[in-house]
Amino acid sequence: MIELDRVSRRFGGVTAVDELSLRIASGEFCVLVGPSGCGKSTTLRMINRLVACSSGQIRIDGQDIATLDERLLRLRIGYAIQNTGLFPHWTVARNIALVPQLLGWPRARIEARVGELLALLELPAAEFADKYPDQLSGGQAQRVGVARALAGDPEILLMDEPFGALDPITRDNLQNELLRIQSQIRKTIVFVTHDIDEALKLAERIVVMEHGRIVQHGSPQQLLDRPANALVEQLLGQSERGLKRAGLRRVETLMRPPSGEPPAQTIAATASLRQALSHMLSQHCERLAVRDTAGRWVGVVHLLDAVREETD
Amino acid sequence: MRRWLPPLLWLALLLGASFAMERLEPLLRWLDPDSRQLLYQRASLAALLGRHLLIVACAGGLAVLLGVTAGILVTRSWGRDFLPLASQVASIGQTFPPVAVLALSVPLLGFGALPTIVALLLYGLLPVLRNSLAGLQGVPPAVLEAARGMGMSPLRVLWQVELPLARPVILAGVRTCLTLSIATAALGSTVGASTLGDPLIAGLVNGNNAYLLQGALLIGLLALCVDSLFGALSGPGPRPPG
Repeated sequence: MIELDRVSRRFGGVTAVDELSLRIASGEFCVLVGPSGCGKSTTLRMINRLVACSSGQIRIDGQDIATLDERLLRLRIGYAIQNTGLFPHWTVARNIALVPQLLGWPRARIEARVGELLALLELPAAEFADKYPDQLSGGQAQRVGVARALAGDPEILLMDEPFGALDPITRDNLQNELLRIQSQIRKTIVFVTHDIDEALKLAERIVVMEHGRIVQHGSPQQLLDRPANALVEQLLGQSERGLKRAGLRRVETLMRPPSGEPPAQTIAATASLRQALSHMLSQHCERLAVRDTAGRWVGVVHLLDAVREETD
Repeated sequence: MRRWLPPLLWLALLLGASFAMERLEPLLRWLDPDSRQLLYQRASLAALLGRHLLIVACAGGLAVLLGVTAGILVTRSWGRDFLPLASQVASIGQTFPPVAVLALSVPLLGFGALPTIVALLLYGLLPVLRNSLAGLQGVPPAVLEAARGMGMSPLRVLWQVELPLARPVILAGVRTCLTLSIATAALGSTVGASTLGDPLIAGLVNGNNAYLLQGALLIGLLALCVDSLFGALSGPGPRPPG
């Protein structure tokens, strides 16, 4: 658990983070989002003490981090950044092995760990282990960056706009990968982005920041249902809010049981309501057959279902 | 291993020229048919080469040590106040001609090898310092941020990240420093140091073109030898860093 207790950071006369208090539970995926200069990156970097607090206290599992050894603290915290920061003169395998090496693991354990992480990030070891960072695509380099951050098996993972420099398709893939990985490893993740769609997709909890303060925090659903002020509303894209909410609902949660003949057009049960609506619009139909991953017909979703109030 | 061929070749020529100059006597005779004496005899060329190298090694070694150390110190977070000063010194210093430094240091240090070493040191320090600064400042900020964020100690960051990444640029500075020093060390002969400049001075004073050629040939070969050595060192190794 990470607790920020009235934490401030001033740079000269400018207050970047202002008396911010926040509690992030173990295993939670927490996304800090807000406009540039809102203090989200500074907040993140205070957690591994790359930036010192001007006042206030940050505790990890109840321990004030100011009392811990800076390097030991960082070895416990994975860190991934936008431009990956991979060491250009080291191979992929050596880059990933950095923290285990600093932790003094025996060689065999390090090798096993590197192999495990390459497999987790779907980078075949035979192909990638001995490559250098400049031989990788942007998406591959960022996968290595994430692998390196996870290498020491840290309890906490800090990610500072890790997918910010990637093209939309690669970004989407990596977001899915991260969700898959998180469902396996259950780390406490603090993730900074300025992309609200990324936040809505990844977060269990979104913290919206402005001028170094928290404007609102809650689940993506809570934010979409009840934005606290004009900034949050603007961030959520005003006129598209309904569609963003639809993006959070899965078709299988609102389909009707199958009856009669299945409609001609189909959609996956795990697809979002937003995708279903888009499909209806492009195919000029009102009903879609819902099929599960095995291709079985499990229900029907109707255009009218989309506007029904949620019951769950 | 082909990249080691040029330095070896130049080295062979250099050793050949310093130990077997008499083989070139017909050439020297053709160049200077009137001279009584063709081969420089006051000291063996090999001994002069050795002393020349010693002076260059002393001055160059000190220049590298001081230049790289200063470059490292002023790029640390606590040394940054001195960075502008170091950059300025590095850029203006080279406008001083070494002859001037030599002329100024003789009254202070007397004649001999010492003023020569001081002049070479001051002259050679600057390319090393300038390139150390450029190399260390050229390390991508994201790499340093990641290194610190991962929990590497400052010393480890310097040793395992900054210096390896800055190495090609620093080596280029050392290369400039040494080749300049080899050429300039000959000036030491004007203030009483024994170098490969001796035959040059003697040749100029006596109007002996054969002496001139011997001195120039050896200095040139030595410079080429060291320069190509650095070419091989910084050339494509198993992988170009950076």
